Amino acid sequence: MSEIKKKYNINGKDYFCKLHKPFLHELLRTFLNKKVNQNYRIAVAVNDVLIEKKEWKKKKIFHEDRIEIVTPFFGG
Amino acid sequence: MELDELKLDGKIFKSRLIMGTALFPNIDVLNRSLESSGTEIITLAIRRLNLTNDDNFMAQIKKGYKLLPNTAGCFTKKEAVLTAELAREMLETNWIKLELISDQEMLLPDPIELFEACKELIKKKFRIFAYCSDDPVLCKRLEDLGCEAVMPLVSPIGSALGVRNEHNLEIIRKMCSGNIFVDAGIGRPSDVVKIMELGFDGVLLNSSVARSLDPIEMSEAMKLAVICGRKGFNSGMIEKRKLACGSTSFKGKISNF
Repeated sequence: MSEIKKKYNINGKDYFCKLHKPFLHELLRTFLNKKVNQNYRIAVAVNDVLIEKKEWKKKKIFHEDRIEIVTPFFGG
Repeated sequence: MELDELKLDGKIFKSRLIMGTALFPNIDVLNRSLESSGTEIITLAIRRLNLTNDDNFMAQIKKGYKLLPNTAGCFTKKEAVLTAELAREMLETNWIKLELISDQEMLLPDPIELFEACKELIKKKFRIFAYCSDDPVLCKRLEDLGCEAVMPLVSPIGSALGVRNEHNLEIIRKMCSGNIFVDAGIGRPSDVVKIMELGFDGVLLNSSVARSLDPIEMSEAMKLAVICGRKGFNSGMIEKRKLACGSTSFKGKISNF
């Protein structure tokens, strides 16, 4: 029997994965899937609250949590 | 050609020109334009990570600039405060160019949301560069609140309309003793000269350079305009008067005939 996928909202879109109540760093690792190397600067908020990088391993993520992953971009 | 130094957050800068990084035709033109502008401070936005493209800003922009992240596109204090916190976490700077707009058509700053956001971010130890309207009282209130720099517009963002209310700018300069930069509405080098001649501490440019036919040449023109206006201001310009005042003496001229 296949595992039921959990729904999270990442950058405004639904994201389904098998992780159940993962820690933030686990979810990020799955979502980013090696597409972002360490040179990328990112910051993360969960449900409109900044989660500092040092807290990623302690922060539990729950079904339907909203996650924002941001990066620097060209701007004036 | 050197100018008197600019002090921001206890640091000394030689250039009084802050450059935006949006709208340039490509990364090479952007980097060369920044170089020819002589800027030391550049702005950037904070946006959702997009895994489908490879726009890694930090990898593409030349190193060595002081980064000034902005809160462009934020409408509410809540959005702006979170954006500022994300920027600080990511870029390890407590500088933030605080922009809170009120509508999508004119992109005019919302003074009430801005003021409230400033109060909260100052408590959180941010150094704020506050983008605001050219209201002298608001500028003074933002300065008194403890903003690092107050940045009034001279006309709507990207409009290139230039200075629309010079009298307001004169009042702002008279009322505020701290760092005042003009942020938006500049279209051409002559606008920059005018602003700098009024005694402003600097300008922030983006559209006027990036959307010009030759951004590299234009950024140098803007650099020279900043220098020209600042040197004029520092030199003590003569007062305007309604009657002529000849420069050549009448003494010794041949008689009237």
